[in-house]
Amino acid sequence: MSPTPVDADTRSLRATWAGLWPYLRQDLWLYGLALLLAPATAASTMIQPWILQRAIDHAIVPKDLTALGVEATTFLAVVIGGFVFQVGHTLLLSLAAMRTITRLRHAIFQHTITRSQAWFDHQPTGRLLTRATNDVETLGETLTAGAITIVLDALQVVGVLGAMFWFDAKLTLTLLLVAPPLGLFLEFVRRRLRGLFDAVRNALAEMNSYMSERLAGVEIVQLYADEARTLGQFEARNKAHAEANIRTNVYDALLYATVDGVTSVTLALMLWYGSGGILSGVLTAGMLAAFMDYVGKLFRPVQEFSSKVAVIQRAVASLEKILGLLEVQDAVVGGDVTLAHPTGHVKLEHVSFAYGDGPTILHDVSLEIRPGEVVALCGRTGSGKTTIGKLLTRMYDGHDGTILLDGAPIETLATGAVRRMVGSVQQDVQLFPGTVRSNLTLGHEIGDDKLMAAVRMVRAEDVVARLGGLDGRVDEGGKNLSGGEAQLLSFARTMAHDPAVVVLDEATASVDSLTEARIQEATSAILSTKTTLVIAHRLSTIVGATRIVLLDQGRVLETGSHHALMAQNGSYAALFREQFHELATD
Amino acid sequence: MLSFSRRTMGPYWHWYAGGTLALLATNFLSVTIPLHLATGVDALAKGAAGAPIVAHEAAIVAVMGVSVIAVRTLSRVLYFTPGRYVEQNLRRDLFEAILRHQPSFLVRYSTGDLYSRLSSDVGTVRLLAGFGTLQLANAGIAFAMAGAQMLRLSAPVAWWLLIPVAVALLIVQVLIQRMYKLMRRGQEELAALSGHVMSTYKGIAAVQGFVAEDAFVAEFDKQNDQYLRTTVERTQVRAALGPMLSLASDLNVWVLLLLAGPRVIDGTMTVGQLVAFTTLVAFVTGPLRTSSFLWSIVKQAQASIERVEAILSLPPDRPEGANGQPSPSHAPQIELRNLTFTWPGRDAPALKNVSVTVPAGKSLGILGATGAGKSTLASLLTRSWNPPRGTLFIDGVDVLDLDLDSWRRAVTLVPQRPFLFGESIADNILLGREDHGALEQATRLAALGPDLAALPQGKDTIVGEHGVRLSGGQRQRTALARGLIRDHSVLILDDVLSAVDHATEVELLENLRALGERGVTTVLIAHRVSALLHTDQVIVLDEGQVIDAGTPAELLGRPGRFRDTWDQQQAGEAS
Repeated sequence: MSPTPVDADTRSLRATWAGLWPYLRQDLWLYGLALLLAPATAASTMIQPWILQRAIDHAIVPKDLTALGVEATTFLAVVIGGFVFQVGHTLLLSLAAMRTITRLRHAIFQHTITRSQAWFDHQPTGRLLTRATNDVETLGETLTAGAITIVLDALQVVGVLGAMFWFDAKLTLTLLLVAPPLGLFLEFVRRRLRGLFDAVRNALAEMNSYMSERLAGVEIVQLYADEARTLGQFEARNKAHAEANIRTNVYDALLYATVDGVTSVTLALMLWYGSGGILSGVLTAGMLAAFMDYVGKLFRPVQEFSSKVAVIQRAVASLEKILGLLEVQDAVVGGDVTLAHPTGHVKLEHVSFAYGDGPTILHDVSLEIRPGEVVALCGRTGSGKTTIGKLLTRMYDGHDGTILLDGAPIETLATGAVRRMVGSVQQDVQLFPGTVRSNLTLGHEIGDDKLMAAVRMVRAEDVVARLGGLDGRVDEGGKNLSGGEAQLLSFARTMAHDPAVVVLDEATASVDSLTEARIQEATSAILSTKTTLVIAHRLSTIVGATRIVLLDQGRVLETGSHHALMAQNGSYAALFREQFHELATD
Repeated sequence: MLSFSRRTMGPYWHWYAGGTLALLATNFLSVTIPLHLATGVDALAKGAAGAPIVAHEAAIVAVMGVSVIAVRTLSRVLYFTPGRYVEQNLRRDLFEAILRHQPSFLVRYSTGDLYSRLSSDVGTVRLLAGFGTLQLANAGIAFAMAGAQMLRLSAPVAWWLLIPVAVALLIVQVLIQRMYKLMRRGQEELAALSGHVMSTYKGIAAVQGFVAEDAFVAEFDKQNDQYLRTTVERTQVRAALGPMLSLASDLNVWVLLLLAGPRVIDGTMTVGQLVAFTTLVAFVTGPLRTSSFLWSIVKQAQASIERVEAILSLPPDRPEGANGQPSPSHAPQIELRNLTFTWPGRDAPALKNVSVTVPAGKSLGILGATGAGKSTLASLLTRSWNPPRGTLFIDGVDVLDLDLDSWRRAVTLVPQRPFLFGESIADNILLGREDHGALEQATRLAALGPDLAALPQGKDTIVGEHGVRLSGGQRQRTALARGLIRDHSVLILDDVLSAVDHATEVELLENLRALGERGVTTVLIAHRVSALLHTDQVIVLDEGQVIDAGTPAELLGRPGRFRDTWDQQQAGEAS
């Protein structure tokens, strides 16, 4: 279960697009319908110049007003038909693409939130958010605007070329004389641009990340009078970004302008052809008008091609990252056994654990918590206390040895069943924007009576009352609550879910002493009613525990009641005196 | 908006002037080419006699076509380049303004808001200064020149051609308005969706721990579907938008057939002129297409300019007296005299009549519960916010009369929530300094040495975004080292010992006491009594008021909040 980095992924272009298949499969009929309309749209484009030619050569030049009326009416019908087909085509394709994207966004969210805690520990939240929103948006934009019209464009180019050949193969071949040099030139420009666009992207990323970080830390920059240096560093990145963009300007402009100019050169070729300079062909005014129209329609997609390619490249990059994320396997895989009425018997037998390839955190730990007992874990930072709690709630898996819950190996139980049986109270309180009720239930069906009972049990009535009852608002991250209040709500949440076993991480950093007293009260209430494994920091808890387990660098050093361990006068007694008594007499 | 454009784009007027010349040339060539085509076509009808004329015209058209490539390229480069310069300058000015504005100003904006002003708003202004201006000039010139040419060919036909164009532009404007409205709604919905995703990720341990994944996915789906509905609506508008413009130019060809056709038949126009007309109609399609979006670019840019100007135009919110006397370089005496301070927008003052004097080189401890006003006091001491005049004196001089920069250099605050940049530990501590001897000393004083030894890359360890790769205690001690490395005469530590264990706390306090002897006036803020036992004097704050003061020994020796807290904290740890 070594954490897989989100971005470490390279795959072939084909595999990348194939990865999208499961998400667009269901909308295949929409895509198909849209594609069916594409030839009709392209046909309208192809037919218009032909009608123009007929109108000029067969109606206007022979001075036949009636024929002109017929041709004009046909032309109007074709134009309107083409418009309807094109709108329909675009509409259907975008609709299909957006449904695909919505499904993909759902898949990303669903997939990520079921990954293991160990994986989350290594993911900057901001980057995950970028995957689920920005990258999906980029892909969506491309699917609706870029990739799709490229199909129509290609169809148009082929269709127009075909129509031109049908009209006059020799003329068309003459005109295509411009194609090889134009193609070579465009390819040269495009190659140059590719490298330059990469540079632009890098410069942009560099500038943006610097910008967002210094904005977040602006207080430090100001307090430490670091403005000048920061501004200098920023300006260097800002300048690099501008210059990278300016370097693309000439090529970008050339790409655009060339197509413009080449259209005229082609028209000149056509005149030259008509004058009999190269082959004695017959060029009518109508054909000239039609070909001018065709040439314009031939080159417009070419002109837009490069910008569309850039858009598609961006989308491929996004899609690669998204697929990389969707392939991350670091999930805790549970069995399917559920427990109807868990009693809360916990047993660890010779459990060892390491995160991925990292150093071993737990060495051969054995311990037992019988229903109703309170077992306290003590030890210095890094002794492995927290890890035991995370194994019991299946936040981490991949341990050696056996962990038994009510006699069943933990990995044979459904993950949800384990977590319903073993609830935990985290040191790091996690509240969500919403109401007090939604924060307590977290989407489960729990009646108000039960919620209020839990609130009363942890003495959080006044906190809930201050917020306006169960319907009171809780802000993002619990910002409208003090640290202690948030802690109490988190206690209430665990009690409301009524787990058979509670893992309680007791450390309370940055809570003022008044609140600390109340938290202690709530803690005692929990300890007296629940089977508890407590990661203990307070002496009252330790002294009252059924059993104390002293951990040192992942090993169980001593086990026993407080009095037994004090009498033993070993490591526990030493730690106890160091942490509590010396301080008191200092 | 005009004055803004003059200010930002004005310095590059010669680029724009050159670009406009190139545009004039481009459009002149483009509208002249059809006339040569017309002559050529009409000569074609004369058969062999016309051949030399046709060849001549063909050669002219070819040369003009190649010239178009050159001048068109030139026009784009000459417009886009200053656009980038405008963007770069504006972004630098804005970033500088943000750095210069004080917290009292910046607190009104979220980091995300400032970021979007720096990136997307500045980007929109660039779009206006480059692309937008180019298109505006190009469309104006193209319409004028093509229009003149068409009027010369046949005025009545030219006027009729305006109708489809005008109608299409009108419809397109209505559609664009609708589309932008839907885009804004979509953005809001996407932001809400992102908010849900973000808070879920942040609270992932609770979500998984309480088996609430399904509920959170259901909420996600609800918002995701709502967003889908909005984007689908937007698509309906967009699907009509593009084809609408093609429709207009296609209809123009139809109008030509109806109006110019009979004229050719009755001899008032030549076939060549009809062909020239169709070429001109095709030529204006491009500018028509882009100009329909110009209005929205201008509107968007207007909104962006307002958002950028909101920060640029206001004088940097430097507290008054920012250019006053230099701050003392030695450890000063600090005196608070009846200091009362209310945060803007609040009713109750955060500090009430606080008076205390810290002798030069001595230390003051501040004890108080959350919300007692401890951190407010720290903000006033560093003048992140200005205290009222006559309430805070440094060596007898009102702090408002001190030069702000020199005072900031003299004071070091290590804030409660350490913010680290995503670079190495060493870079975070040094903040641009080069003195590696000092680095070593600072890490030693901050008790960071053992941590560095345990990390594989030591002081060169990259701490990651906001320091995610360090533990809470390591982050705090890195921030402390960053503070201690500076040459300051006043040191304020805002509850920096909360995430360290007892042994480290003792070591740190010992180190800090040694600092005091080196000539630093120290203010130590804590919610744990044990951290304050070694200070020279302590004030106890409660709801912004000093409720007790004295030496730690005095306070411990008599009943009161200090001793109660001490007893309670001892009870918590050693009941």
